[in-house]
Amino acid sequence: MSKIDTFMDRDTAFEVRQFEALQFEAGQSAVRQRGALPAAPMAMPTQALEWPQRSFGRLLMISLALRRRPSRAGR
Amino acid sequence: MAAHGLDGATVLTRTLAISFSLAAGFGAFALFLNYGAADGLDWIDCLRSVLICVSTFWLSWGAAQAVAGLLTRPPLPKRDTGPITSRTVVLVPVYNEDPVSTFARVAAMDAALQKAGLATPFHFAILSDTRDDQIALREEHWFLRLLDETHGDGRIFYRRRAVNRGRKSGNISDFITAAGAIYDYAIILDADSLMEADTMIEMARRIHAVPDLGLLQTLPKVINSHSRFARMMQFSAAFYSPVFCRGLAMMQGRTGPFWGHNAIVRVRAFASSCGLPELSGKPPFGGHILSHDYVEAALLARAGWVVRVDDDLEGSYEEGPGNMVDHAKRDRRWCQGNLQHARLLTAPGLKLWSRFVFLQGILAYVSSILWILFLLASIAAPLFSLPVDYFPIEGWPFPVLPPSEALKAIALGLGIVGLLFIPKFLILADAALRGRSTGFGGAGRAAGSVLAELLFTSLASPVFLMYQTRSILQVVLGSDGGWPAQSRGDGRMTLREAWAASSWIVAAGTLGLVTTHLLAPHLLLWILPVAGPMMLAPVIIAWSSRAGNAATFATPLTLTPSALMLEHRRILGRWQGETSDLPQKPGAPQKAVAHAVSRAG
Repeated sequence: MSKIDTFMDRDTAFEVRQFEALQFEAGQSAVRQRGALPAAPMAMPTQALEWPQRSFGRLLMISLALRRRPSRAGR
Repeated sequence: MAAHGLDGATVLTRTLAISFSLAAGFGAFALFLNYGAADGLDWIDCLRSVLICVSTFWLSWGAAQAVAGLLTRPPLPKRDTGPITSRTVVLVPVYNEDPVSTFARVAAMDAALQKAGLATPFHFAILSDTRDDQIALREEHWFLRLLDETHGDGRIFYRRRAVNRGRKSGNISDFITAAGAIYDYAIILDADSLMEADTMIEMARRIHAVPDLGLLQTLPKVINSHSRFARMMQFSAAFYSPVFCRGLAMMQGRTGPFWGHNAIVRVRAFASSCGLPELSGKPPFGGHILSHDYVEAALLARAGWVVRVDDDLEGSYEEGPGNMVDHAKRDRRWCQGNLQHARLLTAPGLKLWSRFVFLQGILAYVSSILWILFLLASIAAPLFSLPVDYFPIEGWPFPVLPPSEALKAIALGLGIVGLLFIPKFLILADAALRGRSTGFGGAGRAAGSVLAELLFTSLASPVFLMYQTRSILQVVLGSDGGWPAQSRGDGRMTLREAWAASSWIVAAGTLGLVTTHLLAPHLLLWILPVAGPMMLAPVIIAWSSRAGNAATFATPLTLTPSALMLEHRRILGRWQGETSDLPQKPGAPQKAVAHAVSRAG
């Protein structure tokens, strides 16, 4: 392949990209105009699916405290 | 929202199904322990007994669901025949899909709604998460074409997210937070879903009639399958799945399933209950929730909403993978999603049934590992067994042979095969008696299809067993499968491609057979049905990816496609035949246009 061919090819590739970018922008603006979703916001709060780590810590402390408590059976 | 108790029929069906499965599991455990103890009980016998216990429980659970579906019928759902006063949006999430095919489905569904005179209360929103700019460009093009053809301005919408945070569930929640307040209900579809207008209308009516119904799921039928494998899956989904689904519907109570698409949700319920968090830690177990649908169903139930599958709803369709490798790829994603649910088994506030559903999903994959471990333990057992003492009585001159327990092993083997096969034969008998087989080409043709399906699944199961095992190991070792786009199309594979995808399975099968021959030659006949298909994996994969004949695996929809399916094909054919679509890669004709544009400018 000659240098000229390579150059032409690069040139063409650049133009194709440029054309596609133009098309893309044009398409996007048309789509934005005609396909835009109606704005109607709605809250979607994030749900808790994991136990808070503090709960585990608290549970551990309570169970340790209960273990340390002296038995009343001997009194 | 007030929580309600379960009805008696649901409790009874659940109790019977779980009792049967537990009895079968522990029965298998006792039988195998007895078999293993014949030559002296050792730890490997105990291990094998536990493995067979869990695996048999899982198989029995499937069989129990089929029997429940055959013997029971859930109560008829509340009907509403009044005018549609609600607003429903049909959500079509897309991710690097072929826009021509997807948008043609929207055009066909919209045409059906227009024909029914109910286009106004139903809107469509195509929610693009496409990352490929070339495909996005085509989406823009075909969306404008869709609008022009359907006169859909103000009814059909399209948007592409800049960042696809949260994958598909993030895509849906992005829509709800931006535009959800307009709509009462949302029908969530997949890019390959198709739904009859009557079904959409009926779903909107049903959810409207029951104020605490949060989600209503349909059972999608697989359509447009061409290869042998895809046609077999299509037949299974049409012939067996309705019965399994009816069994599930009988057991669901207020905690039914969500399979991610072909379902209608109450937008308010979904928004208030289903905002998914990111799990702590990294993927595959942390991060975004991959199989979000099960979790969303559990969250709706946690908030007191009813989640229901109505097995009587027809006219809901999807497409399936074209070959075994594409099926395995999709299964890899599902595997990671289901195993991730292990993190949620103890999530706060969930219903017990939701936790059980998570466990079922996990077991569906873990059972593969259990079977493999059972086979490996059986091959290795002779290495660990104690030598048999033929002269246990001192001074007695004659050898005492241990009692043969082979019959027990054979009975157990037959029992396990029965759990797999009998439900299918029962469904065949039921279909023949009730006349359902007519839609499958008559009782004889349906029987032929069932036998072919059983033969094929027997050959394909060991191959899938290996794919699933690999998926589980990958997930457990921390490998994230990512979010690959779905492969669609006819899926034909050459033998070379099939070999590339399964040579490791051939190697594993050969190694298994040789090891069995060396260590436990008496097990060769038992191992052959597993190792044989593994060694033939490339042939099975390539052969099953070829086009199947029309006689086998006929379904009502292959024999008589619905008007909607025909309309979709007609629009798709017309659009595909046009040259105005933008090419996927810059090619010669495009270059010429580019030159013309640049020179003119």
